[in-house]
Amino acid sequence: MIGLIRKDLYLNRKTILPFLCMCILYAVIMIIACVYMRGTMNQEQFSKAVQSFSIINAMLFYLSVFSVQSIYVQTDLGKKTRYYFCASPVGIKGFVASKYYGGFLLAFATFLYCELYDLILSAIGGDLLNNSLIHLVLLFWCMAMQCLALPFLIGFGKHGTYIRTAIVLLIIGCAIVYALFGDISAFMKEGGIISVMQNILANSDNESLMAWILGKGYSALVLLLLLPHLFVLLVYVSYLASCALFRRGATTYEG
Amino acid sequence: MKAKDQTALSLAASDRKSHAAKKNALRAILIFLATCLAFVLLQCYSYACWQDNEVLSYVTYVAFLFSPLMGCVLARLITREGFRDGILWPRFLGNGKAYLLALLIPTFTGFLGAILSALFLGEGLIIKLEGGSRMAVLTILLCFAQLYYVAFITAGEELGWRALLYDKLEILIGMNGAVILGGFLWGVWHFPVLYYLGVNFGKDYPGFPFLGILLMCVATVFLGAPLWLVRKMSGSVIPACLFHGVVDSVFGGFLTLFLTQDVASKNALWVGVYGFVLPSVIAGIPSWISLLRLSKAAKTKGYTK
Repeated sequence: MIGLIRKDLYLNRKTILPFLCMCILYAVIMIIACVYMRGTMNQEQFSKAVQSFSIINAMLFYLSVFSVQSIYVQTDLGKKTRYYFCASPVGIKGFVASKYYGGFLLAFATFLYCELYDLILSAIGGDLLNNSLIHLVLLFWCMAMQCLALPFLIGFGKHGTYIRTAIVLLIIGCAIVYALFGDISAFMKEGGIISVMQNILANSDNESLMAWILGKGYSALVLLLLLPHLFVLLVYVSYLASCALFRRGATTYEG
Repeated sequence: MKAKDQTALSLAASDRKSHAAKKNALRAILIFLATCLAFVLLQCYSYACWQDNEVLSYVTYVAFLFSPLMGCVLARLITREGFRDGILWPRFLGNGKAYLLALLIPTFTGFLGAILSALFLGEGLIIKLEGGSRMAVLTILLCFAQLYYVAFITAGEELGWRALLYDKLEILIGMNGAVILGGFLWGVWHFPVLYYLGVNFGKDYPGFPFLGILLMCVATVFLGAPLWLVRKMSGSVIPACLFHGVVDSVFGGFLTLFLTQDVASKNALWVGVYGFVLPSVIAGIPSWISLLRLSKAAKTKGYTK
């Protein structure tokens, strides 16, 4: 299993290394900017600015790692590889699991990186940044998206990417049409998702998110607390679907 | 004569092998313990001198929590053992029993601990939370929802204690010795949080902090047995992380169902004894027996995960 992940990481070194360099470079630039900004603002303004930096960076990193993940899991999914792993001792289950582990590893590394980045910003700002909840939400989002995408990629090969892109475009298209012609007053009002997102970006703290969650009522809270378990279920179902679709992918793969 | 010579030679070779393994294990243990000790001292210094500095105290606390992991990494690198044993992989297939035990044992013992605390402290089995049963449901769900996050934090401990120290101690002093000495060391490691924060037993009791440390050692010795059992059953450290995560999130959560904050803080020592030490002992004894059986079976089959 470790060998398979190492192989995928090696094959994707030209994607992962530039991404890693970009993350480090971006972080260094932001840290330097923060150090210079410190002299021009009072403590409160500076803390808010640093918190905003932290959240925006986390979102950026997770969006980037999501695309890196997509490239990573598509690697070495050709016909010959599939037939080879059907017959190898690792088996279909081991091969599919290595894809899931690898993708999760990338997301998890991003989580650790964001936490470390927050720690450095805290050291510069003087106030402790506590955005772990937001990082966790992003981490779960990233892993859930991967779980939804992987059965398509494994089951339909290259066509899986097109199917996934089509679904994403369809959702975005519907959202745009709804935003242009639908009733969005419920989202825009005080306490709606838009104002909460604005609050999170402006004040950049866990409290805005927590206050929004707590204000949603008992059933929403119960559902929210069940989400981690539903996520585990999603991973399991996605894994089973990927294993079931593995052979089908081998027969339909063109390339 | 020839056969006798061969037997003597093979015995000598196995002796040399076992001696080298013991020497290597001792080295790994010393490196691991030195690392843990360094971070324990740093954490004590942090509590004493850096409490005003929010960032620094947070960094030292995180480093302290993950010090067993760092010790494990250092020991494995220095002794050139490496990480090829794949102890970090979940190994779900065929190990469902270990995962089930990792979730069920601490849940039931935690609930038992909460019931015992409520009964012995004369509070009765009435839900004390504001909001009644609806709030109780939320509390229980919250305990289990945060399990994954807590399990990640406890991985810092488990990767040190169960993935290195217990295994190495077993080579040196056998299974029972490993459970006792490993549990004792694990308990002593909690000194900074017991002394400075009053975790589990508070600070207001006769014999502070020694009695608290002693009780913690009793709890960790017995709690170490089921943790090591699930780790050995699965050959992975993940069930142990889950087990530890359930202990950390559920034990305290269940106590809030039957005890008010006021009663819990006034009787912190007894809440610790009934709600933490006693359930640990109850979970520990059968697990210890199972551990011995597992070891015996592994020896007869000549196989271990």
